[in-house]
Formats: sequence, C-alpha cells, structure tokens
Amino acid sequence: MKKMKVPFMSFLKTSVFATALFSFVACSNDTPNGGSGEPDLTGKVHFDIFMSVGEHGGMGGGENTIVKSVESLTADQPMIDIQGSGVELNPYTIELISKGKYYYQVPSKQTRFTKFQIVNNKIEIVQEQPFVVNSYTERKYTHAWLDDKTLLVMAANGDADKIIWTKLNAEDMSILSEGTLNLPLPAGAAVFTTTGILTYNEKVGKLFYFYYGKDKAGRKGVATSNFLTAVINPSDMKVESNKVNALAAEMAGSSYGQLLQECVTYDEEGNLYLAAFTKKGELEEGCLLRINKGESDFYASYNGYPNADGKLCTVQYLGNGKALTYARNQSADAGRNTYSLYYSIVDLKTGKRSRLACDGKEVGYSSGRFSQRSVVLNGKAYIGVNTETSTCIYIYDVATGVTEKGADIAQGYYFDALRVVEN
Amino acid sequence: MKHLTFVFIFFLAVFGFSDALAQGLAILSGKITSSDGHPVAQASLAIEGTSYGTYSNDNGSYRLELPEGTYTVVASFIGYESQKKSVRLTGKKMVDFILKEETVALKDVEVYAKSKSQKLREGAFAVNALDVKPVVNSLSNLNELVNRTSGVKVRQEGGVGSDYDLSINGMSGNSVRYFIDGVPLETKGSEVSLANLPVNIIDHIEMYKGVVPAYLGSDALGGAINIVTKKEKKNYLDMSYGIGSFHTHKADLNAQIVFPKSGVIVRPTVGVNYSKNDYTMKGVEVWDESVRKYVPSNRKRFHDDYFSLLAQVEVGVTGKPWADDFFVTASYSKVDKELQTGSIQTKVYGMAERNGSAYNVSAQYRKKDFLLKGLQMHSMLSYTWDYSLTVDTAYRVYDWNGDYIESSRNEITGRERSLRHYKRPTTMFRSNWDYRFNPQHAVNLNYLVNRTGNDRYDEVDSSFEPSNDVVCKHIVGLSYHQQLWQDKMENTFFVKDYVNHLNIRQTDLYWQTGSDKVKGESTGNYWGYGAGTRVSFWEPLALKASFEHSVRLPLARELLGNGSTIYANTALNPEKSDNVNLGVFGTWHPGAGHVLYYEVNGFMRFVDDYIQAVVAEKEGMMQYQNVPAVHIKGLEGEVRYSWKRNLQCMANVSWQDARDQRKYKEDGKLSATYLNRVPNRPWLFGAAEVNYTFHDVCRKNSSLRLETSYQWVHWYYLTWEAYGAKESKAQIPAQHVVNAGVTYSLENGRYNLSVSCDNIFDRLVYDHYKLQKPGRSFFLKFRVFLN
Repeated sequence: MKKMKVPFMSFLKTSVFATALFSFVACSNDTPNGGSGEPDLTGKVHFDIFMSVGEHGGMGGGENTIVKSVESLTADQPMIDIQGSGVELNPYTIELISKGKYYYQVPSKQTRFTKFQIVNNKIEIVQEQPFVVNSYTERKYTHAWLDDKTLLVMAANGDADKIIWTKLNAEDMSILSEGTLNLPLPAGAAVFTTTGILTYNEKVGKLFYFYYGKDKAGRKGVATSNFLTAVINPSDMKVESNKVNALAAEMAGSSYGQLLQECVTYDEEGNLYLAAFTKKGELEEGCLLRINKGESDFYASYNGYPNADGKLCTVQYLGNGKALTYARNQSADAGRNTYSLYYSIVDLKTGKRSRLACDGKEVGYSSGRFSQRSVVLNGKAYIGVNTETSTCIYIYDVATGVTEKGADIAQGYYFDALRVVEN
Repeated sequence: MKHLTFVFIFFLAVFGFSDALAQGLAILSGKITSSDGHPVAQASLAIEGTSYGTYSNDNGSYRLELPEGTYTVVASFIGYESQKKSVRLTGKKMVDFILKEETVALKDVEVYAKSKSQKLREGAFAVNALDVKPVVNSLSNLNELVNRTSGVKVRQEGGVGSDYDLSINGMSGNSVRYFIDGVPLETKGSEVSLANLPVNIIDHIEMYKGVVPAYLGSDALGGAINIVTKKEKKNYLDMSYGIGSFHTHKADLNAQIVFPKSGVIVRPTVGVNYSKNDYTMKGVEVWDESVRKYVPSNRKRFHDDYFSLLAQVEVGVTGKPWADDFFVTASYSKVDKELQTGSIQTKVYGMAERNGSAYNVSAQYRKKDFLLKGLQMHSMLSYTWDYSLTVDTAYRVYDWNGDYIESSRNEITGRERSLRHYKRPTTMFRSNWDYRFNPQHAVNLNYLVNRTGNDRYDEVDSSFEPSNDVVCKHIVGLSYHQQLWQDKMENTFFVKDYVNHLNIRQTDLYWQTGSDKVKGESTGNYWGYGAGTRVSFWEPLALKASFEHSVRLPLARELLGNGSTIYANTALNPEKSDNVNLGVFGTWHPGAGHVLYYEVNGFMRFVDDYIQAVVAEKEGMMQYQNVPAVHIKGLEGEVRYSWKRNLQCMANVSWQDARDQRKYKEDGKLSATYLNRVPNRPWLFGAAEVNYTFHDVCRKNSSLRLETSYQWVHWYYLTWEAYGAKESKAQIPAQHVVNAGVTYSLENGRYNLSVSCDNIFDRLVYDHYKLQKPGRSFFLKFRVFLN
C-alpha cells in the first residue's frame, strides 16, 4: 500500500507541475501567462535572446540573427554578447511560433512546416511536414494553439480571396485536417488582408479571427471597413459569427499574425484584449479593445489604452488586472529606427497607465518597432529595452510594482526578441 | 588635397609632353613575305623593348611611325620562324622581312614577340589580358576562362546560362562594366553576356582592374571587361559545333565576305546555346513518407532548360577615303530560361521561367585624320529594343522528385499569378576623338550617352502598378597619354564627368524599393579622375601604379530589379571609390626558348555607398543596397612560363580583404560589423593551368594540345563571421576543381576537334550558398576555320 502511494503522489506532483508549465509556456501564444500564483519555474526554463547583426531581423530584413540562450536575466549576470557564441538562426527567422521546448515555422524558401529546437549551440530539426493541400509562405500566416498538441495555421491564399487553414499535430507534425474557411470577402472588398490575427479563447472554446478586406490587392488597396471579427468553431471550422467592429480601423498587426509581436492577450476570466488602432490624420491612435468572455464582439464602451500618443504595438497580460504594453509616441518618431517606443503598465479596469520606471526615473524611449522583447514569468515581466544610452533588461515585479535593472546586453546589434523556452 | 595633387601631376605631365614634342619622327615601312615569295598578312611587327607594333596588311605591307633612334624590329607569324633586325631609323626607312616556315629552332638568336595581350599587361593600367584565339578550339564558355585569371572571380548559380556574378579585385559583379570593341555590351540586349557570346568571334579579352581607361566611356567602379573581336581582312568562315553533358549543344558561325569590286564587307555571326542542365543535384532533400523525414537524395534537375541565340550581321566598308570603317549592324538576341530554384536550392520551381529578346540596330564610323591630321574620330549610334518576361503563373509547389501539389499561390513570390513584362529600350551614342600629336603624346576625348527606359506591366497580376522609369546617363572622359624615355615610361591622366538623370515612376512595394523617397525626376553630377604610370627599368623589372577616383551610377537592374528574384531599390545612390593599384612585373629569359613572366599587384579600394547584393533570406529574393563604406585591400600574383611554342604554364593566387567601414547602425549606435570582413564573398582563391602542344603529330601542320587547369577557392562564411558560434554558421565550402582537355588540329588550325572534361573528380561545387553547380561534365567540340 505504501509502495503504491509514492508513485501516485509522484505522478500527481508531476501532473500539476506539467500543467503549470504548459500554461506558462504558452506565454507567446493565446493563453494567459505569468500571473501570480504560478509555480516557480526557475531552473526549468531559459531565455532565448534574438539579436541581429547589421540590420533588424523583423519584417523580412536581415539574415543574420543570432539566438543566445541564457539561464537568467538578472543584473548579476555577465553582459550578454553574441560574439563567437549563440546560434545562427538561418534559414529560420525571428517570426516564430514557440511552445514548450520547441519552435515551429514555415521556413523561408521551403515548402513545409518545421518543428525545431535550439540546443547546444545548434538548431536541431525535430520533425518536418511538407505541404499537402494548402501552402503557406514564410511570415504570412497566423496561428493558434487549440490545445497543447494541436496547432492551427491560417492565411489568405495567393489570390487573397479565400482564407485557408491547416491543423497540425504538434507532436509529430502530421496534418490533421485542412480546408478553406467559409468566410466571404467583406462587402466591396476584392481581397483579404494578408494574414489577419487568429487567437483561441480556451475559456469559451472559440477561435477569434480578426481581419479586414481591401478594395484591391497590393499596397494601394484601401480597407473597405473597420476590421471584422469572425468567431469560429474550432472543431468543424465553421464561422459562427462575423461582425464589423465599430471601435477601431485595424488590428495592431495584420501582416504576420502573432509570429513576433503579441497583440492579443487574456485575463484570468477569459476576457480577450486586442491592440488596435485608428488613423486620425497623421496619427495612428492606438487603443486596447476587449471582448468579454462569451461575447462575439467588442465591448462598446471599453478602451484600455485611452488617449494614445501613437500606435499600440504589443500587449501582454501580467496578472492582477494589469498588462504590459509597448507603444509608440508618434511625435517622437522619425522612422523605423528612431527612439520613440516605450513600455507602460496598464490597469485594464481603469485604463490608467504609467511609463515603465526604475529608481524613480522613467525608462527612456527604445528603438525597434518590429520587436518583441518582453516576457512574463514567475510573476515578473522581463523587459528588454534599446534606449539611446543602453541595451538591457528591466525586471518588473507584478506583485510589488517595483522595477529593477537586469542584465546588460552588448551594444552593436539589433535586439529583436526575447522568448522563454522550456529546458 | 587630392584634387590639387592631381592637378599638379597633370601639369607636370603636360610640361613633359611639350618638351617631348620637339623630338623628330621617322617612318618605318616594308613588306613581310614568306620564303616562297607570298605576302604574309596579319604578321606581327614589334619593336623590341617598347609597346610599338603593328600588323601587316593583306599584301604583307606594314608602316609604323616611330621617334628617330635605333631599334630592334621583330617580325613574327604563327607557323613561321620569327625574324629580328636592328634598324637605325632616321626619316623614312624600308625594311623587308622574309619569314621561313618554322622547321628548325633558332640556335644563335632567340626572338620573343609579345602578343597584344602581353603588351596590355605591361601597360600602365592594372590589366589582365587573355588571348582567346589559342583556346577557342576547346572553349565552351568565356566565364570559365575569365574565372582562372588573377583577382577575378565568377560566381555562377548553376549550369549553362545560369545567372552569375563577376567580381574584379573584390568589387561586386555589377560594378564591373562589359564592352565589346569599346561599346557597352548591353547594346546587344540585357541577356547577352560572357556566358552566351559566341567565342569564335573573340580575339582577346581585356580586364581592367579598378582603373578604367577614359575611352571606354564607363562608370565602372571595380573595373571593366572589354571583349575585342577578331579583325580579319580576308574572307573566312569559322564554324563550330559542340555537344556536351546535360544535353548541352553549342553552335557558332562567324564569317566574313568581302566583295572586291565594291569593297563592301559582310560579317554574319550566329551563336546558339542550348542545355537542359539536367545535372544531378547531390544530397537534396526529398520527403520519404515511410519514415516521415526529408532524406538526402540525388535528383536530376528537371526544369532548367536554357536556350540562347545571338544573330548579327554587319555590313560596311573599310579603307575608303571618307571612312576607315563604316559599318551598320543589326542583331537579334533571344534567351529562354527555365527557373529551377529560388536563391537557394530548397526552393524548387517547376514552371517559372524568364524569357528575353532584343533587337539592336547600330552604326559606327571611324576616320583617321578627321578634320586635321592625327585626329581619329570613332562614333557609334545604337538603339536596342530590349524585352523580358517573367512567367510565374503556376499555383504549384514542386519538390526535387519533380512532383507537385496544387498550391494556393505562385512559385516565386508566393502571391497571385504574374506575367511581368519589362521593356527596356536603350539608346546609346558614343563618340571618341583621339588626337595623336606624335607617337609619344596623345589626347582622347570620349562621350557616351545611355538612355534606358523601364516600362513594366503585368498581364494578370491586378495588384501590379505599371510604370515607366527612365535612367539616362552622360559620361565624358578626357585623357592624355604619354610615352617617354624611348617608351621606358608611360603615363596616362584622365578626368571623367558623370551625369545621371532619373525619372522614377514606379511606386509598388515602396517600402521595399524606396520608390516613395525618390519620385519624379532628379539629376546628379559627379566627377572622377585618375592617372596611371609604368616605368620599365629593364625587361625583368618594371613598376606600375595607377589611381582612379571612380563613380558608378546604378544599373537599371540594380535600381529597378529584374522582375523575378531581385527587388527594385530606387533609392540607390551612385557608389564611389578611390582605387589604387601598385604592381611590379617583368619578363625573364632564363635560357633558349624559355620565357618567364611574373606580376605582383597590390590594390586598395576605398569604397563609399558601395552597391551590394543583399539576399533577403526570408523572401528568397535579393536587393541591391548601399553599404555606407567598404574598404578592400588585396594582393595577387601571377607567374607565366612558356617554352617555345610547346609549353605554357600559369599559376596565380589572389587575396582580398573587404572590411565594413560602417561605424554606426541606423539607430545611431556603434555597429558590431564595423571593420569586420564583409561576408559572403570569396577572399582567397587561385588557379593554375598547364598546356602542352605537340606539333606535326601524325600529319604535317597538325598539332595536339593537352591542357589541364585547376581552380581553388577557400571556404567562406555566408554571414558576419564574428557573431554566433562557429559551428552554427552557414558556410560556402571550399572548391577544388580540376579540368582537362585535348585538342587536335589539322592544316594549321583549319580543322579542330577537342574533348574536354570539367570537374574531373566530380566534386560538389558551390559558388553561392546552397546553389549547387554541375558535377563532372564532358564537352566535344568540332571547329572548322576556312580562309
């Protein structure tokens, strides 16, 4: 009897830990992460820092991204540098899907899905799967995790008049099913936007797909309406609801889903938050919209990021009703590489926000519009900045609201992304 | 300061020139005949120890203007023993030569005549010169030959007709300009290149490194390649046909018909290349469903057919009172090219292709003593209808098995179907005025205007915005050339003015092409200048140095893309460079019949706004971009040895080190790449070749030539070498390629048969990252030359 108890308890503990770990690892995906009450994952995970040499790795620029894996980002760590160390990411790009130990991608110049991991200074391909029916191109797709093993990939086709989808078994990368969404083009539209944003609300068991139509293909095409929200049943991929929103023109990102930047997040209750914007004159005015749990459209009177001074680029839920945002002050912006972006802690209930500050001083503006340099782990947010004077990590404690400086990162590179990966 | 120094040197030179004007001139003339009394046409007449020389005409007569003095005159012609005479020259003097058929080697007197190529090598400029005539019987591709010369690297993407990138002294292939007889090669059409030009028409190739003569009317930054065609005065017919591995066929026809009564000359030329390029790709990934893995496998290329045609006819006259040369030329070129891969071989295409065609009409006129004695005018007017089409209409995804699935997007760009048309009409006018005060001093004025349109539209892609851009450039070059101290010193000084006029109307992909920043019309004016000098102390030792502040205006292809794999970048700036060459060379005759030539050159290139092809790794596309600055330094050495007419050996090695000079990133912070070696370019490579010719094998006047060559390239990184763990970094592996061939010729080269084998050891060869070149291949060529 005694002998029977030990394995049972061990199994129970392992199960609890595994559950906690999976919920954390989805930090770059569609489930809440990092809130208080999660187990201490120290030692179970590491950080992957994506740094590009010569030019930014985002938006198709640069082919020289190095991934440096580090155990800790605290201030007592040596300066993080990629000279002679780290893994060259080629042919993969920083626009990745990550979960657990693994990365997933449609690699550039390849007609397949690839699952790989970075270990011992090299990239190890775990499993690949060639396209069978639907085909995708690098960066131009959006994704959602239906459960820990099921990855859904979705994109507009080449003519951009249909939305295609593929469900993959993330363990062996086999294709579970494929199809075309029964989603008509918006009224007056000739094409869909390239990818849109797909997210899965596990609390309600529905997929939400944010997209819009354009009157013609190409960069000269004009959106025919505010963006739309399609609610999809993940089991049969039927569109159950399809509505034009009345609050904002576009989602924060429409080119490559959430492969790099997180613009959708959830609170503990299952309310969905989406970073969006509306162009008002020259100003791209950001906003943070909410779909309450169980609803199919945005809550009309809610804006979690009022009076924005520019576009809201990313949002991540911190727990306790707070979120971390990365936004642009457009008045300080003079191009892709100017210092105009800043982090804020936002109270999602009141919309009040405060600039990220350390030792009583606001952290300066960063450059890097197409970057995702923050993760939430163990009740802390690890926030990478690239200000005019330094490139480093700040660590924000969600419970206390205190920010301390973390590790320094060597200058000379473009600090593009920070991800947490299971060891 | 640089400008002042240049002006100072220029005036010094002019001073030297005026001093030398006082020297007297003499005329040497005569006739060269064979021992049976027949005139020997095209015999070479060289003044030993100088670069003076000429050729005999159809009657065997020659005429040469020289400063008064005592000279050693050497007459030579293939198949005859050379003859050497010492001549004291004052006023007019006639000296005849009777050449004996070469049966016995001279024992007491050794005569060494220098070829045109050798004379060029020994000029003031840093130049490689290649004699094509001796190898034309076996040669199938000019790039092969060029690639073996020092400081030059040709990086091919695949087999016959594949795109290639030629660099000289580390400068990007597109900063090198191509000419045919001094006229930009692009007049023949944008698809005509070293890779498909008929080799039989070529006499020799001049490759200028860093410093380019002003008369070429070029805005080349890294150098220029001038292809000099054969100039025969007799009727002849030159035909060849070659067949090779991978279903390769090549046929060239080149002839000249002279109508004696009217003096009209007709020169038809046809060159055809075809290859399926179905060579085996080794270790490419093929999906094996049974193990659910991509398995390395060998597969043949299945969509890489290449066809090119160049047909040309020249009609004109020579030696008329009103024109030394007047020719009207019409040509047609066509290239059909299937595309097998994207910019790396994991992206497999099965339907995409690129087709091009061009019509050209041109006229050229040359007259010596035009308007005044000593002034030669040579002008050319050309119009080219250049058209290309990129077909990317298949919604398919191919694999290396040649299988495909129906896809939801096209092959190249992953967007909607595309039939992209490019019309690039090119108008060119060149006028060259050369005034020779005397044999020591000459000035040359060259003007070139080149207007290229770029009319683009797409038949099926509704998102494509048609446009019609225009690039127009004017280049004026003025040079002064002097030869002093009985040709022991040679100096050249030049200035060039470049005017670039752009009219950019395209706006699609503006975030990628920058067309929103450079819209409408703009004109830029840029100056270049340079000088070159050569001092010969004695035959085994001579020094040369040259300098040019050069400007290169972007090519239409760089600015406007190629419609398939290269994005436009309309915001490209001209690139500028200060190029310095310093060399030592000499010829040594260690024993009877032995000639050893050596050359060592050091060079530096201080480049700003360098135009570099950057692989957009994520897109399978490329784009030319301005890199703020790159400094290149290098060293190269070449040794040539020959023994009589039998043995020729050559070996060279080149080292070049390109370092990034961009100190700050776009965000104003220090850049990690500052002073790092620029990646993805060969930096250490070499070549060697040995040829041995047996004469009178089996039959009189026959020859058997055995040749072998070896090329080596050190491996190099695809990306910046200092960052990331070495074991994780992508590399382009080292190359060791050995080629060999044998050629048998009958009746002094009238009938020739050659067999060659490239890459004998079937090594895996890459010039570009993951773009495999062919393995072992054979080529059989039959050539007839009748005159």
